[in-house]
Amino acid sequence: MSIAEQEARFTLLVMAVVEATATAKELSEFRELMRAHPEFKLQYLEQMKIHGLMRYRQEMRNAGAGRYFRRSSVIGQVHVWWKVAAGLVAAALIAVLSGVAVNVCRYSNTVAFATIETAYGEVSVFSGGKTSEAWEGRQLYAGDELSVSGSSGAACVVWKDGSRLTLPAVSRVVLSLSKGEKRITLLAGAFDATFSKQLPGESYMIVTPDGRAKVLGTTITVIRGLRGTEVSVVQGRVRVERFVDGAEADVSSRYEVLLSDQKNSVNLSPTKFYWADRFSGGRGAGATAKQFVGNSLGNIAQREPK
Amino acid sequence: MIMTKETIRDGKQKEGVFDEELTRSQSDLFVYISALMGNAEVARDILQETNLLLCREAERYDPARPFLPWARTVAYYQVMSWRKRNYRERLVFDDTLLDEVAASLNEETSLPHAQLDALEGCLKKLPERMRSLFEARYAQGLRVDKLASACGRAPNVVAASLYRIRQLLSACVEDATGGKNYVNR
Repeated sequence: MSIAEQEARFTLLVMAVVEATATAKELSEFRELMRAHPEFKLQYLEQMKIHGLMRYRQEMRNAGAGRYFRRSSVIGQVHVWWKVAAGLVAAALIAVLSGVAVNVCRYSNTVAFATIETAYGEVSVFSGGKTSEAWEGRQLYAGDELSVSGSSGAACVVWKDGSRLTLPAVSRVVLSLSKGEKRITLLAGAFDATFSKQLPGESYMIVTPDGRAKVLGTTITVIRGLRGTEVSVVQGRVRVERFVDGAEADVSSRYEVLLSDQKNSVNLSPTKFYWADRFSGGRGAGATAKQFVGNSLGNIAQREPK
Repeated sequence: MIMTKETIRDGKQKEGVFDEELTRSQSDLFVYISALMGNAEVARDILQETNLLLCREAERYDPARPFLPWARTVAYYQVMSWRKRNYRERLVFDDTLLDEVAASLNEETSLPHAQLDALEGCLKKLPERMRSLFEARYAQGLRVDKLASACGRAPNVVAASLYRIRQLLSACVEDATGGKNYVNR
C-alpha cells in the first residue's frame, strides 16, 4: 500500500474512531498506522478537537449553560436561552423534515436522574466544579458528588427506579450514569442502599478505590475504611471484583467481603452487621450461596458461617 | 499561620483567579481528555474527576504560573487512572501512543475558551446543508447510521461529510484564534 493509500485508509479509520464505530480490528489497524506514520495523528487530533468541542458545547447547552463553569451575565443568560430555544425549534424542524423522531433524552447523563429525598446536617453537592448546599427535592445530575460532613447528618437519595441510598456523616459519593449503568463511586465513608430490581440491560455499579460490585437488585452496605472496602450484602446477590488482581466473587445474603489492595487478605465471611433484619424484616436468605467465579480466586480465603 | 486582613484578601483573590482559570479551561480539558481517550463518552466522567482533584489541590495553585499545563497534567493522570481501573474496556491507544498524543496536544497554543467562541462563529459560516447535518449529529445526538437512513444516503457518505465539516471548522477555528493548525491543506 502506498503512503497515499495508507493515509486514505487512516482517514476512514479516524472517522470510525471519532464516531465510536471502530471494531477491535480497525482500532488495531488505526494504532499500527499511527505508529508507522506519526504525522497521521494530526488528522486524528483535528477531528477529535472539533468533535470534543461540539460535544462539550452540546452538553453545556443541555445542562443549562452553567454546569460547566460557563459564566454569563443575566443578559448573557437570556441571550443563551434564546439561542437554546432557537436551537430546539431548528432541531424539531430538522427532525420533522427528516422524519426522525427527536430523542431529547439521548444524552440522558445530562438529565437529572436522582433526587435528594432528605438531607439534614451538613450536606452539600459538588456539581460542575462548585459546591453548594443540598436541599430536599434537589435533583442530581450524572457526575454530581454528594457529601455529608460534620459529625452528624445524613442524606437520602432516590433514583427514578425507586432505588434508595442513605449516606451517613463523613461520607462522600459520586453518582454517575453510563450506558444504562448507574454508578455509585464511594470516595469516603459508607452507605446503605436498597436497589430495585433492574430491567434487562440496566444495573448499578458500585465503585471504590479497591474494587467494584455490580448489583441488579439487592440491599447492601458499603464501607470504605482504612483496611479497604467492606461490602455487606443484606438481600440478593452481588458480584464483586477486586481491582488489584481482577478476582471476582459472588457475595450472597448476610455475607460480606473485604476488598483491599492485598491479594491474599480478602475474606468472604458472615456479615457482622445484620442490616438484613432491619431492611428485609429478617428475610435474609442466610448463608446459602457463596459461589466463586473463575479460577483467579485461589488466593481468596472463604469461611463458612459459624 | 496568623490570618491577617491581607492574607485573607490574598487568599480570596487567589481563589477567584483559580475559579476563573478553571472555568476557562473546561472546554480545553474536555477536548484534551476526549482526544486521549479517543472517546468523548467517558470524557465527562474523567473531567468531573479532574475538576474534583483540581479543587482539592487549589491550595497548591500558584497564580504566577500558567494554569492550563498544570490542569492538563492532572487530567492526564486521571486518564491513566481511568485506564488502569477499566483495563478490560476497549482502549483506543496503548501507553506509548497515548504519550505521543498527549505531547502533540500540549503543543496547542490557542486560548481554550476562545476556541469555543470561535466555533460558534464558524458554525454560522457553514452552508445551510452542512450546518443542518452537523446540528443533527450533535444537537440531537443522532448517530451516523440514523442520519444516513434519515437522509437516504449511505453511512460512509454521511461519515465522510461529517469528517469534511470538522476539517472546515477546524481550519476556521484556527484562523480565528491564531492557534496551531494541525493539518495543512
